[in-house]
Amino acid sequence: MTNILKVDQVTKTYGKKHEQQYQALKGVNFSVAAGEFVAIMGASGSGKTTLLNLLSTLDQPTTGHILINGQDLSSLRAKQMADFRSQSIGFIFQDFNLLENLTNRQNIALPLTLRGISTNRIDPLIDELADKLDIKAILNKYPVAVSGGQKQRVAAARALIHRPAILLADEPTGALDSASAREMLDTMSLLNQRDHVTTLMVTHDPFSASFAKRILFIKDGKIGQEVNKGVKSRPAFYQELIAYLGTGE
Amino acid sequence: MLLQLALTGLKRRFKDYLVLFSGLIVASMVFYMFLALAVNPSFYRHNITIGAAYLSFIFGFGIVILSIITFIYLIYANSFLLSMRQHDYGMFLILGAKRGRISLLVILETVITGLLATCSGIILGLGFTGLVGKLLIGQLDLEIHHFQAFVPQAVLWTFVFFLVVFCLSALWNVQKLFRSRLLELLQEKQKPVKINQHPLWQIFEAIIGLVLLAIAYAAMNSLGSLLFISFFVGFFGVLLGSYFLFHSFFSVLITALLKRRSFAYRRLRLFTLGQLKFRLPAYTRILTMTSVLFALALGAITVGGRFHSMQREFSKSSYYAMLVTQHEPATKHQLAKLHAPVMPIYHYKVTPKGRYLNRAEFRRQPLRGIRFQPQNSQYHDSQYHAYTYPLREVTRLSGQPGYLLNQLVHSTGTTKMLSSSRYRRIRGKERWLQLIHVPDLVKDYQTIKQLAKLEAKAQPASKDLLTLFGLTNYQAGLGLTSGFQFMGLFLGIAFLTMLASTLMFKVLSAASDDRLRYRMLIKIGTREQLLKRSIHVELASLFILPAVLGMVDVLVGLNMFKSLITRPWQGIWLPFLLFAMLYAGYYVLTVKLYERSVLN
Ligand SMILES: Nc1ncnc2c1ncn2[C@@H]1O[C@H](COP(=O)(O)OP(=O)(O)OP(=O)(O)O)[C@@H](O)[C@H]1O
Ligand SMILES: [Mg+2]
Repeated sequence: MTNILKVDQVTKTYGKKHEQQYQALKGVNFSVAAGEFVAIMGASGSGKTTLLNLLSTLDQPTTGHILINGQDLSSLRAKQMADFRSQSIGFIFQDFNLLENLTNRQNIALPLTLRGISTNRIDPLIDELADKLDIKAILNKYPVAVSGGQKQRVAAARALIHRPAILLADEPTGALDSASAREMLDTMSLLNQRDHVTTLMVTHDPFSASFAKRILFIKDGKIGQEVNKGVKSRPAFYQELIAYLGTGE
Repeated sequence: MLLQLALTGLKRRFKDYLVLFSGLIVASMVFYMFLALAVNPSFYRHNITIGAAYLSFIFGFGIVILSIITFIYLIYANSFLLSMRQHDYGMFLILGAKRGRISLLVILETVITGLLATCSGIILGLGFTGLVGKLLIGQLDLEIHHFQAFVPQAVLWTFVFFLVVFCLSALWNVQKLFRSRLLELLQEKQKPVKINQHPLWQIFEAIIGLVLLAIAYAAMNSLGSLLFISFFVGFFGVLLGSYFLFHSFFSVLITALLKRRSFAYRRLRLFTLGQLKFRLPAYTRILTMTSVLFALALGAITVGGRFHSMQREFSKSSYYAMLVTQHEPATKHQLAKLHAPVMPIYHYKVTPKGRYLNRAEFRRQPLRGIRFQPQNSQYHDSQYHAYTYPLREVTRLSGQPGYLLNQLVHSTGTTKMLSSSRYRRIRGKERWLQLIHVPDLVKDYQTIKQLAKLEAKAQPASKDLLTLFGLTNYQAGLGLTSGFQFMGLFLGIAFLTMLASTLMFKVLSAASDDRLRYRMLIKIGTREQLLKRSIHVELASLFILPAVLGMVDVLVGLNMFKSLITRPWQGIWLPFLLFAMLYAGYYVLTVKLYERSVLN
């Protein structure tokens, strides 16, 4: 299977020389194959957001290499990085996902307009995806007028509309109530199974993580254990995780 | 410990404080500048001899408007200050500080911030008043004397005004702090945008706005005898019309643009339009204020500038600029400098019985005068007609030339015009006088002034007489118009500084809300260049829309000044250009500061 993402000996040190420095990542290695749904789990301060920022080219590793779709991110310049983000990466964040001064439809359209897709192809693409995510009815509303769960699904639509190589999600359910969180996670795993969307999710919540097929545990800036779901059912996998976390800490 | 915490808070948001501070300084500076002119007693005594009632109206109006703007401005500034500090205040409360202590801290902070800014503003205002005064007087060759930059009353009033407003703000902050819960203080929430009213209502408002503007413009256009009414209809029509325009019209327009997919679905246009769609209505009050003030400021500068060109009209009100009765070398020297003069010499003889003139001389070089012909109710160049006096009239005492001659010759009795042969036979001392006409008095002003001085020295007796000539009329006009012109420009510049900095302040104080939006756009892969372009377009719209509206207001509003100044639109590009440059400077500054605060 081809690797969509490859992280190779990546370290990240915050703080300039001669100042107080802090090494948030201490040599991280892993890879994600096409069509995988991987979760990265770790306690607060373990370096999850740091890692995600590196993957999304918002920040650069101190040492090491990251390859997405065979492209070495460290070889990109600022402008190319922006273009790379708009073409190859889809994003879902914990909160403040949507621009409140645009309708949901306009929010979803943004990545396409940024890429210069011809204007009359944009609406059909949005309608098609909205159908899958069950947000068709709220497309012309503003984000403030829809529920948190719907907002997050609109955010997912925006993250996927341009068919990115990989979907990166940072605590996508962190701001949702449990019912909406469940809906969102179902949606994500459906997209992964049916449309083979390669997904990397960062979370500290075992329930969220149990929707992934593979889980990497990050601790103190290093990837430790790796757990595979295999053929287990999701609830069984969840129980296993809980048990694992109980013994691990 | 509280003090230490307060200081670290200040350090953390240094940039925001800088914006706040410079805004307050500009406000107090402009306030001082205005007062310095409004209560400058020696300036009026020496420069404005006519229309004092008019002036006190203008300044009364000006002070009211300026106080209102300043007040609104200070409210903005204060809520900005509070939003910066409330998180810290919340922290202090958690750390166990008593509410009373914190109230004291709030009051002290607000008042000290205010006083520091006011004092710096007044000092800057002193310098600026002197500088602008000097520049205007020097550059425009104005006949302004006794303009002093330091006016103690103005200092006092500025200080009192700001102190009162800051004390009120401090009290307001304290009561707000007491009413809000701790959590509210600690959360620096991202405020969601307000969804506008019903679209149909919005369209209705947009139409109302256009109609009101149309009515206002029509009123200003059709003055006639109802000056007062059309002024009020015009002013309030423009005010309300602009309000609705900003509140709804532009939103409706942008919504229509957003619906046009082929236009909106390109690059960041969606975002830019979305920003504007909500920002324009949210800024309705400040944009309305900006546009109306823009009109007032630009109007003041334009009208002031037109007073300058009125000087030319004054220069045309008499045909002869000066007279000489001697040809001493100095006089001859000056005469030679004139441009295309007409300088007839008339001889006359005086006997105890009367004065005698040589008809042939008047045939050869007819005496001319200016006829004043008002056209409609408006002033116009063509109202001044040069014409030749009929010979008969020259000797008539009631006619202008007869009167003039009578005065010149200092004698009583009749004046007779004789044929050359009879004139020659009259016994008596023959004397002469030379009248001087120049096509362009403005051009030869300095020379004529010299001639008058020389003549007055040579002929002390004719000193009073000299005042009957064009030079004096012109000088009177110069004094009057310079006063108005100076005021117009000075007020215009002061208003502009104020309104542009208000707008800048409003934009910058919203920057922290915008930062998250730009961060998100960066995350989804928007090139920085695109973001910058979007910022430029957004801010340019915020600056340009009120400016354009203000300009239209001025162009139409100048109608109202037709009875006061001639051809009010002439040479209007100059004040417009000046204004545009100043305004553009503010725009660029705002963009730079805004970019720095949202893009990193
Ligand atoms: N810009 C920065 N400068 C200095 N240190 C930083 C910076 N960002 C993060 N850190 C440090 O790096 C470590 C990892 O931070 P990171 O935000 O990646 O954690 P996280 O796993 O996302 O935690 P959480 O679950 O709370 O979001 C933390 O100790 C944090 O203090
Ligand atoms: Mg994090």
